[in-house]
Amino acid sequence: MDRRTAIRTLATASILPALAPERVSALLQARQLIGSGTASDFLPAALTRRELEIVGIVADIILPRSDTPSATDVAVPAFVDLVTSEWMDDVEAEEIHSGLSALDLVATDRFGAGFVELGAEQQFALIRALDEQLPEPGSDDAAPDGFYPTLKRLVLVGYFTTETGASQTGYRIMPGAFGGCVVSGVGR
Amino acid sequence: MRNEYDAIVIGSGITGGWAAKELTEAGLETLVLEAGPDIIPSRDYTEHVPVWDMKYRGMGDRKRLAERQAIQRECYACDELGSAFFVDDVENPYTTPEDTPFLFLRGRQVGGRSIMWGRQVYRLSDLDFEANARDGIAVDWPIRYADIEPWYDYVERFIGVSGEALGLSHLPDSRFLPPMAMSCAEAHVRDGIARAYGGERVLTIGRCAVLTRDHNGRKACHFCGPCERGCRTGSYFSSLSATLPAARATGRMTLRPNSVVHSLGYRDGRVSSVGVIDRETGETLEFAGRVVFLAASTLESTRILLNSTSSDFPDGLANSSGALGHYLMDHTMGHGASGDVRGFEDQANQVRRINGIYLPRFRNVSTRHPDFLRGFAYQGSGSRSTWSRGTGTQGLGVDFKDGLTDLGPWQMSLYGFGECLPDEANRVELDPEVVDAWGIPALKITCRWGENERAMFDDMADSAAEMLEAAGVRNVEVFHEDNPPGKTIHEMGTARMGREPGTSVLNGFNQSHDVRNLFVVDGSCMVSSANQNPSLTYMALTARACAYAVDALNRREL
Repeated sequence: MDRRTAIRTLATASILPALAPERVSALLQARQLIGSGTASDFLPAALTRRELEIVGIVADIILPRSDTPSATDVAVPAFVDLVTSEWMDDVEAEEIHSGLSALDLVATDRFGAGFVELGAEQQFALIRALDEQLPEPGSDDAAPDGFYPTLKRLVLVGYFTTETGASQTGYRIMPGAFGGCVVSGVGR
Repeated sequence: MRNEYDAIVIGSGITGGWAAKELTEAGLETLVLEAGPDIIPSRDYTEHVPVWDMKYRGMGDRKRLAERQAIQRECYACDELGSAFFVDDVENPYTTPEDTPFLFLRGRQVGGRSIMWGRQVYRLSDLDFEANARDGIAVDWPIRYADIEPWYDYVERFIGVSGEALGLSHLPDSRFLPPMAMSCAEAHVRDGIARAYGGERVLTIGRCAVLTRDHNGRKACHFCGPCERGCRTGSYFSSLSATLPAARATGRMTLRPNSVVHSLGYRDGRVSSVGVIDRETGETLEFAGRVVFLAASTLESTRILLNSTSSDFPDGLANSSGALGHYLMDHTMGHGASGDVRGFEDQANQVRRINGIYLPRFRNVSTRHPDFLRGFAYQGSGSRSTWSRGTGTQGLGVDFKDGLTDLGPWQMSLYGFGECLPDEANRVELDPEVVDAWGIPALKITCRWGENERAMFDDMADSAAEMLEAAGVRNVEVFHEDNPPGKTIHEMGTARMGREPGTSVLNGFNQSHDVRNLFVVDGSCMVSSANQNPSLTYMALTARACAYAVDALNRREL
């Protein structure tokens, strides 16, 4: 994959301008303890080890560890691997593979090292540039297709559909009653 | 296994279950033939399986769905686990003319679609039963509200219907259990519409066959959510939770699953035999009954009749009129509006009420609309969005994550369901070239929305937007889904009732004009569609037909 193809794959040119590091440093504090989260004996079915590692870094930029677990803490990369392997068709799976390759290539082009090898601020800068392609919160616009919107969707699904993730939203299997409206945060 | 019974019921879904209950309780030894496998709730229901125990976390086994249920998956309920209750499209083919899609969404198992139905129940009224006569369309219903009213009462007492009494003459009240609560957004919009439109437009809680208190030995709903995957407490009405257990309790029901009926034999004015292929072994069997109730679902019942030919009925049994297979209807849906409700940010709805709101028809009730006949109603809901709102929007990091664990803005939607006029051109026939996995000819389905249906689409959306805006909802936007017929899964007609044997298949008691011991009690009997969810009417008509058939049997008239 050449640079031009890589940029097209990520569907953005805005990824190349440097982003002011101070704008992102506050958000990065939460990322200092990125663990692999995915057990080291996990054998990916579709992704390479390196692709799995990139997915883990991206997933934890989107949903880092705080007082609640991070995406990799609840094995989101394994879910992305499962979906890529068994759920997606060949074209969609290829979009994941080429998107991850493109991320590596753009990282090298912009910062002189592969995505995994970059510092956290540089990784964040690249992902934020991709994230800015999405509509702003509250917008009725549909998310664009493509590698990053798909990956982000899978990260969120993979996180909030775990028992850990779902419990944070107050999900209970047996609410037992429906009382119309209640004070927010109680019994929903 | 014996071959002769007092009564044979074909199908065990919402009407077959009622026929089984009524006929066995009247003392008839009854054989219930179900094409699909048995369902044992403690083994087969999956409503309490949490999403994290699903392999694809609720996204479904997409490749298997694409391969085996490419049509069925168009229904929201045909999901990762609910797909178990929908047919295999490869085993159960049907055809449509090119560029004329129809979604034929089916369940084949004991309980049929009463497992995955939407549970919304509304009475028809004389606004509906008189409609064809008033408009000079198709044929007149052979019954009026007074004929069916006691049977609505009878059915509702048994099934349990929660809802709010409104006293509307065009949407008569049911015998209600306590209504479910509205969310604060819904109550806000209800009050705003009441202020703007007086009594002419009313927003009420959905009327649904879900128990809000213990009823007839069944437990009140515990609001776990995914009703379409079954209900171990039997809190919503299904054949499995209510009618089949009642039939079984008489000791007079023989239920035979895996019994695919291919045709009915005819001799001397009566159905003489019911021909069955065992779904699993391929063995062919024949059964006979003094009376036969066809309750296989609208299109499957008609398919069996079309496939039952004889020298007397070369075009299908009970089809001297030529009306069999014609006048197929479904409700239009998917035109409406939605917007944001402000002011209740400190309040939360519980996200799994399993019911929505309802806004009864207001067009062509007391005034005449210039562009179309009949009308539409809305279902809808007002709730706060969940974490999934984050899947398509910007956001990274701790604040983003924490924000998504909270609920999002209140959104309120009104989603229209419109009446469909009976049209002879909307029809089913046997496809001469395609058979199902048991060698039975498949249906060719030709159905298009007509001019009158399409004429309502803009008004459905615009009226919804007007009402929401009048109630103070912000950022209101209309929407128009392009849903083909069948998608609403209210398919009906194709063996209509009528007063005249020359233009209809059934009389006012669901009895064939031509074949005196044959009753067709599912949605195929419908003469017009109204805009109400139809299952309650099917149940009431079935109970009524059973009482009539039992009387006729006792008088030796069948």
